[in-house]
Amino acid sequence: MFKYLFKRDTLFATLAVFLVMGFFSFIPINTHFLDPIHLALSDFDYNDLAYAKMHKNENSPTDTNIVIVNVGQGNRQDIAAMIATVDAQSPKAIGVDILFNDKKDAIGDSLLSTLFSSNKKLIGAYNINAQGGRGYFYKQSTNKGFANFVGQEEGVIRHFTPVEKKEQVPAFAVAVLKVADVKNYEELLKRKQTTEIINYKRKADKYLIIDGMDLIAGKAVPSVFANKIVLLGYVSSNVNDVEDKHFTPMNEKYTGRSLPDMNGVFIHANIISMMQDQDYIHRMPAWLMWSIAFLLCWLHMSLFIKDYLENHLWFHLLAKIAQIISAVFFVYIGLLFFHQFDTQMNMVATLAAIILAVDVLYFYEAFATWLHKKKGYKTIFTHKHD
Amino acid sequence: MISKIFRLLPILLICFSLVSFADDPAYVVFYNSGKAAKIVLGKAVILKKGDQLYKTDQISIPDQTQLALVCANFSVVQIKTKMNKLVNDLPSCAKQNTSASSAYFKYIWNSFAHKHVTPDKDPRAYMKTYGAVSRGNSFSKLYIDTIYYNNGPLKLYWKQGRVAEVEVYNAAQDGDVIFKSKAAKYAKLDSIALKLKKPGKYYWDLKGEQSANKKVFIFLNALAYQKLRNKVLANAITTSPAETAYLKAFVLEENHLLTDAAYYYKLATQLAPTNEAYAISYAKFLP
Repeated sequence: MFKYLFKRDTLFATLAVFLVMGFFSFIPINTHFLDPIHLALSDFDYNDLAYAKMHKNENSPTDTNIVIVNVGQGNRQDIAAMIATVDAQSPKAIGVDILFNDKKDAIGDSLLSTLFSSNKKLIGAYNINAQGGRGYFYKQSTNKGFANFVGQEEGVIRHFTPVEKKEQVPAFAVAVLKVADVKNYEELLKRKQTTEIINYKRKADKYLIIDGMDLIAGKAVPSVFANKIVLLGYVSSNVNDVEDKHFTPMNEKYTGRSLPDMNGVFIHANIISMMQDQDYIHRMPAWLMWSIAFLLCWLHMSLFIKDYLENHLWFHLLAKIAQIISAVFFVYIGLLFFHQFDTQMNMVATLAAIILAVDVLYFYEAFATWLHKKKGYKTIFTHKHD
Repeated sequence: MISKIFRLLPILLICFSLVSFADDPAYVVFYNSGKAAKIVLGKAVILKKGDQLYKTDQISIPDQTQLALVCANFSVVQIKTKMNKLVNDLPSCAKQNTSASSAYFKYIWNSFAHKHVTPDKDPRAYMKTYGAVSRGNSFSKLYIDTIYYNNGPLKLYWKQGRVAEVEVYNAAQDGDVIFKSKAAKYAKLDSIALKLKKPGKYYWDLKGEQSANKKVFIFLNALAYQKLRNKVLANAITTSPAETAYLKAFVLEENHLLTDAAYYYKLATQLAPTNEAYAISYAKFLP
């Protein structure tokens, strides 16, 4: 294998692979729709396997810093009463993960309007892409954040934008953090990331959930809210209740059709937990990933050239086996980094280079032979195959 | 052999050109519930299933007759209103491009032309999903969670000119649809009440907007409604005629008696046409 590693043809063939990849990326048309695997897995990320099959973060302890209040089907007066009860216990912040799109009953609206305009611990949520206005209490809310995530429409939620760049407004979870934990909020801003990958650590069962109606009926112990981040939102009553429920990588069925698995309020809770613990997912820099891709492609190319020249009868079989083994191995390496070190390695370039290597080798061999005949170019592809 | 084909060619061409001149029927009669007829030389010939109607034909449809016609593209046109018209003036058949090939290549073109952006470059384009429950997602400019109604004209207009069907249920949870309106830009409450006939508590939503919290339509008898209205209006303060009308309208709206609220808002705008607040309040009841 190493016999051909430092041959000029190996290096040029490797470069040709990246030239072809570059050429593909410059094609101005989208050909993904012709790829059934791409279509089937369009909302799939290899890193989802880290949650679904490698049990990433499965043993995370309950986050005792966050308490969820399930507003259920409570009306605006009920929600105002829940906020007042929580506020009386001096929590760090109260995030209201509810969109109040329009005017409702005068009493409930009046109560909520007063709370949103006067309570500095209260954070409202809104839809940044809403067509007909951002909600009835948007203007008077002292603190507010957009509840939108980044992802395919109704697809798997893996990212969020901490601050929307155009309007310079924070996400809901970030607005909550700003009120509850200024130090970690500033740390987040220092990262200057356009989008952050959500490090999911907890499903609904890892958060303390208090029923809002029980709370206002005096059936719950309100002291649990003292010095906590409290999020008011909707918690589904059963698996088939999909109101404000989304797909996350923690879904046991990681591809194909399934039921959404996590309410929006828990996604926000996961984001807040991640920011508070400074437990961010890191991304390997693009230059490093391309360097790794080049090195691995070079090694593969020398192996393929060796088989091509010295063992041509078995070349196709061996090349395919090597490609399969490499694909499995490098996906595993990527997953391992994600699972163990919370670091996302983008192995797409590596996999694409290895897959293209065999086809590009054919082209390169023909081109080198032609150059040899015409211009006397020195190449290792001039002698007969064994 | 070749000379024979050449001799036949002019005949074939003439045949083809004659076919192209032949006029296809515009409709074929599928159903005639009454005495819908075609006028032939001044005489009415009752239409029956299978009759062909050409663009130049004249038809007459009397009252309480339903005529169903099949178009050339196999869609069906139903006519229920009284009319005397040329077939050419009848509602046109919706001509949809149903060609499988054209649909496929249109999809291919759209896919080719679809611009690829990544979340990192343009996160806003990927921020259509939001993680919050909606409370009060109203499709009307009015507060319509609960409506008390007895009689009188009232239209609830949908926002942004939306066209939707109203579905009325007999129960708040898992009820049966007991009435479904036609798709329109508004709900006509007097028509809905007329169909429901019996006073009672009903639940409704727009088709496709069904949620756990259906809207409540309380259809009261005249006496109960009068009693409720008097109770609500007892709280209205009397000042100038226009302001009194506006205050009455406001308390009636707050207490979900929208028919009377609309009446008093209209009255207030008539008494004080330059008052913007009155006009804005009344505008909620208008398209």
